[in-house]
Amino acid sequence: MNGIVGSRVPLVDGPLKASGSALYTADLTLPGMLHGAIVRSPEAHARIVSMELWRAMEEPGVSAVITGDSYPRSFGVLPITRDETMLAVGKVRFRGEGVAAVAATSPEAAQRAARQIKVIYERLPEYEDPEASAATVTEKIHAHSPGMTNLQKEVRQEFGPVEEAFRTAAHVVTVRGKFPGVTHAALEPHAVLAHYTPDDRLTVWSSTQVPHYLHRALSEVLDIPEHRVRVIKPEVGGGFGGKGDPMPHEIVAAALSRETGRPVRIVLSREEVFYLNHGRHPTRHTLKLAADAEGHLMGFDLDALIDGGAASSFGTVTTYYNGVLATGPYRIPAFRYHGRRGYTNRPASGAMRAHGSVNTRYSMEVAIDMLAEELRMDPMALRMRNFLSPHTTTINEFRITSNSVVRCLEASRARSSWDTKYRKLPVGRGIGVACGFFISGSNSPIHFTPPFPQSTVHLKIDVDGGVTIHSGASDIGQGSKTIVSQIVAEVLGIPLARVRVAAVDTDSAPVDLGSYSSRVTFMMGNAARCAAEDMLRQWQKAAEEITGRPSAEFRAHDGRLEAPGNISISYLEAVHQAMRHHGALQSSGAYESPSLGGKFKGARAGTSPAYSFAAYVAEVEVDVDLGRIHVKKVWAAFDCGRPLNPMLVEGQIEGSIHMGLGQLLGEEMRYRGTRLMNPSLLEYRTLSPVEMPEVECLLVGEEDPEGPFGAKEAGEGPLPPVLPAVANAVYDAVGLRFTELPLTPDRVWRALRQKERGGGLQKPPAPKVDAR
Amino acid sequence: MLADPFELHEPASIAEAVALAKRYCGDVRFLAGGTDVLPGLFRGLHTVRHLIYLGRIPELHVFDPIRGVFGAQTSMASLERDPVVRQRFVAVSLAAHAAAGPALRTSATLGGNLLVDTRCTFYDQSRFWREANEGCLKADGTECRVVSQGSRCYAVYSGDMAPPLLALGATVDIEGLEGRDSKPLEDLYSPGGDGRLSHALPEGALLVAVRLRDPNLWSSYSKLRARGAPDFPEGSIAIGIHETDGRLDHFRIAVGGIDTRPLVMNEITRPWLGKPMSDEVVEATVESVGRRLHPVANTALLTDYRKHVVTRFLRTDLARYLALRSKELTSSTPAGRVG
Ligand SMILES: Cc1cc2nc3c(=O)[nH]c(=O)nc-3n(C[C@H](O)[C@H](O)[C@H](O)COP(=O)(O)OP(=O)(O)OC[C@H]3O[C@@H](n4cnc5c(N)ncnc54)[C@H](O)[C@@H]3O)c2cc1C
Ligand code: SF4
Repeated sequence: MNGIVGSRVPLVDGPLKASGSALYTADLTLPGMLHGAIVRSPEAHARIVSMELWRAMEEPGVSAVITGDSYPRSFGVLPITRDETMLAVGKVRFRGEGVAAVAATSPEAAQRAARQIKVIYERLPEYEDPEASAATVTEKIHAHSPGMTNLQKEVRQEFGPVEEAFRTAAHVVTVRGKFPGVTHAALEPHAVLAHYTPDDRLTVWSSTQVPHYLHRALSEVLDIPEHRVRVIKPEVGGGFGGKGDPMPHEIVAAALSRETGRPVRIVLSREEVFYLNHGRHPTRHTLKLAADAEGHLMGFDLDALIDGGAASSFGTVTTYYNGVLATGPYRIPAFRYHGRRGYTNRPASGAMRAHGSVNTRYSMEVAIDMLAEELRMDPMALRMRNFLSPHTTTINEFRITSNSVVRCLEASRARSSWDTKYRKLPVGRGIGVACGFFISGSNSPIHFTPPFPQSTVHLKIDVDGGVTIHSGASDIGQGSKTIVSQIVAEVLGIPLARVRVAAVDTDSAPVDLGSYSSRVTFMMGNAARCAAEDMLRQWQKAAEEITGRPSAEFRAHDGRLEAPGNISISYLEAVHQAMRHHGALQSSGAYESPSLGGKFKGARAGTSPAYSFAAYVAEVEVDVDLGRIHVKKVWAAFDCGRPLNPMLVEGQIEGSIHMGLGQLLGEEMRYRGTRLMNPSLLEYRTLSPVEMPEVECLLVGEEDPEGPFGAKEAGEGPLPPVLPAVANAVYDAVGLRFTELPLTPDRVWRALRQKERGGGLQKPPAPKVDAR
Repeated sequence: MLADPFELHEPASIAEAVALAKRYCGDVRFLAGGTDVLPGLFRGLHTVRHLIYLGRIPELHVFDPIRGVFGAQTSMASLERDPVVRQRFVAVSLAAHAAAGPALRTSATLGGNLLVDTRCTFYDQSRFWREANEGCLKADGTECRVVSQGSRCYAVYSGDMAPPLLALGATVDIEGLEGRDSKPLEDLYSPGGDGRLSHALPEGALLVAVRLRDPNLWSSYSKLRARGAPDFPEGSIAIGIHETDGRLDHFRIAVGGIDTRPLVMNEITRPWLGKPMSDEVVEATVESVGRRLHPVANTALLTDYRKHVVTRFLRTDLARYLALRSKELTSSTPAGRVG
């Protein structure tokens, strides 16, 4: 071991970003570049009767004006639900949808021209409620919904004796949860630069999480063979799922470039990013848990209604995830799930950090808290009684390998002094616990038939002795460049500075399915490790040629290859020896996910080669006079397997807690009907630094047998537990259960007043049964 | 969102600035820190073609906390940080600290803050958004979207600095077309009643400086905002008190973030002058002030909550004064909070 993996290495691209030298898409310019602007619909659901374009064409500086008819082919991140178009074709489905686009010599000229485009709309009935979408409608949003409904997806799953469990249970608790939509709010707005050149090639630079999906969509919509399309990913200023789909403006820029023969750049405004959305779905659900008299879970029943907005995006997966990701980390003998996702005339929802699992996790963990109270048990003890063990299978046939959830709970319990606080703090102060469980990469790739590896990494080394890593995985700020560098440097026994990661460029990087579903460290990490081992074998062989000692005896360490008996050569000597035969050295490694999951419909949704586990404790103070929830501290015990870089894991945990508390305490895509009321970062309230609590990260996982150097994920799983941990702490503080978000001070205050009128605030009853 | 093209003027004197304002009358704005003007320009809330930058006029930068004179270009950051301000005009310092966020406060100015535009969910939106909603009384429309059939605008006065300065009895120097004038700050906000304008300063007139006379007042400022930063007030209250020989000779209260202008509660506080501050005064004042608060639903938080918090602040701040008074610590003791 060279100690590079496992150490707190700062981000390899940190100095560039901190100094402002890193280049993001909006920084890029090309000679002769034009600027694109998109005309957006003021109507939420309407037929396009006519469009008057000539005035825009005559504006000074304008080179092209296009509409949806230029490239009407639909696309979507999932091949089974392609229902987005680059610009509206025939009708608009949400306010803010693009209807036309302009390319001009300056952003101002493009915007001026865009304003000259007059569109006449004929209004159609608007749908804002997925309940209405699931019933009979007079106007379908998309023609392909079943019958006369606006349903996008319906899932029904049942495992084990659900009816019987609820019939015979000693305790049943029910949570009716209601969650508004929230969005990613990444710092960098989406941007794209496209250049279609006379050799019939298209190059696109974009702020994307998945260059590969964008590559495919561009090829399909514009009808250019994939081998003539090149996607390059510059630095990305945050994604959180919001840059995971191929997006309309990316295709529009390419179409405008093809039309004009000049490079075209589009940088979205913050308001446009809100209309693009693809954020977390607004959800309503009813969640029921059944348990026996000792607190063993017997059954879990969930009915979820999900507002999909105007397009599918990742929604089919979301509909499954709302159910299947809520079972772990608990052993549940019977499980029934009914999920429906309806189209509405609102900006589409999609994948957002901890995709599909946050809202159900909230209600699940609140339900367990309620159950503990009914049983007069400590909620930690109740959880302990119901955890999945390591190396087991869940009711819905997820294969569980490493699992340190017990250690997580023990760690957060000890560090938070839970036993001296739970139900013992004065009124207004409280402590709460919640657990979590998340995939380390989706096991089933979205596109690949026939199956290809999920991730491939190539290495190259030339006379200079620097190792270049080519990978299609996107560093979107989470640090995957650093992780891949650490892995390669570790295996090759060379300093981190000798490794560089090439920009993601589909012309040179092998395919990787991108940065979503927390797959990169696990899958690309494994591929990188294989590639480095392949490279090392070439060096060892060269070392044998130089020294005459068998190659297998050489270990890579400190920039040298060493064999027993004080034999040591520098790695460069070996490299140069190996290069005599065929010049620069190359190697390749790949990761193929195992075959997992049951045989039933939707069985693969939620399967993953490994799962992360978590147990968080939060301590709060509720200002009962002002309705404010002050989160004082969060103890975040997390099992990410072996942390390859504890500093990055802590960063992910802290960032997740910040994001989760934002959703809990303030964030909401606020609608009046179909109208988004707060498309700005002043009125859409992410957590401010003032509200951020102290966080103590407890990394207690054990090595995972299949993860690279034992690692699992840490990008998304750290988010969901914080919301219910705080909600349960609020209950401990003032005896109020909140099942509708967000917990803004005015709503909390109203609930407190009602509670006071109904008999005053008091501590909930303490458990009778001992905590253990 | 991009602003329409405009011309930037950079006068070096007050006379030059006022002359420029006169020349481009109807098509011009003063630009101080720009943290309110520029977002408005980007959103098409005002569409002037001339901006007159005030940062190069030395007289507007006067900063003399000892004499209590603050030029209009005084930055919010300096009001927040200056130890003399903090000691002598507590509420001013607290209010500056509670406005926007740290980065904004370095460019935001006192003058701009006093004249900041009124706010409303239906108004503080892009041109695209407002057009899609067919506008409203305050900008490119004919109806109020908050109060149906309303014939006036209810947009909220949302500056943080006016309430404490009103509570401390500040005056302002104004350079108008007829020359220099000095008047009580509240004149800048009367008559009020319509949120289309946030103040009554005539077009083209320049706010030169703010003057505070008495450094011995006890003062407090409490602000309700959705988050700890950078949100505008959803209700705020400032109090200025002085007693001589146990009798009130200064008692002023001003409320921001609730109505179309800052509300000065003189008719409630004046009758108590000459009497000692007491629990009875607190009770009666809280009750009367509460009756004057009529927020409408055009900000983020619920109206009954906003009203509750403002009266709650008033009660606790007055109670704190009473507590200090009983310890005979009547002046320049920090008080107030940001809720
Ligand atoms: C994200 C955000 C959060 C904010 N939060 C708050 C908050 O919490 N509290 C708050 O009070 N404000 C807040 N603001 C608004 C603003 O930043 C402050 O009010 C600031 O003090 C305004 O000062 P300025 O110098 O930037 O004004 P400017 O934008 O330059 O001017 C504001 C107005 O005053 C006029 N003006 C300026 N100086 C003069 C003068 N000397 N004579 C005549 N007219 C003049 C301008 O023409 C304009 O109409 C916020 C703004 C943003 C963008
Ligand atoms: S209160 Fe009414 S008129 Fe005034 S800005 Fe709001 S919607 Fe417009």
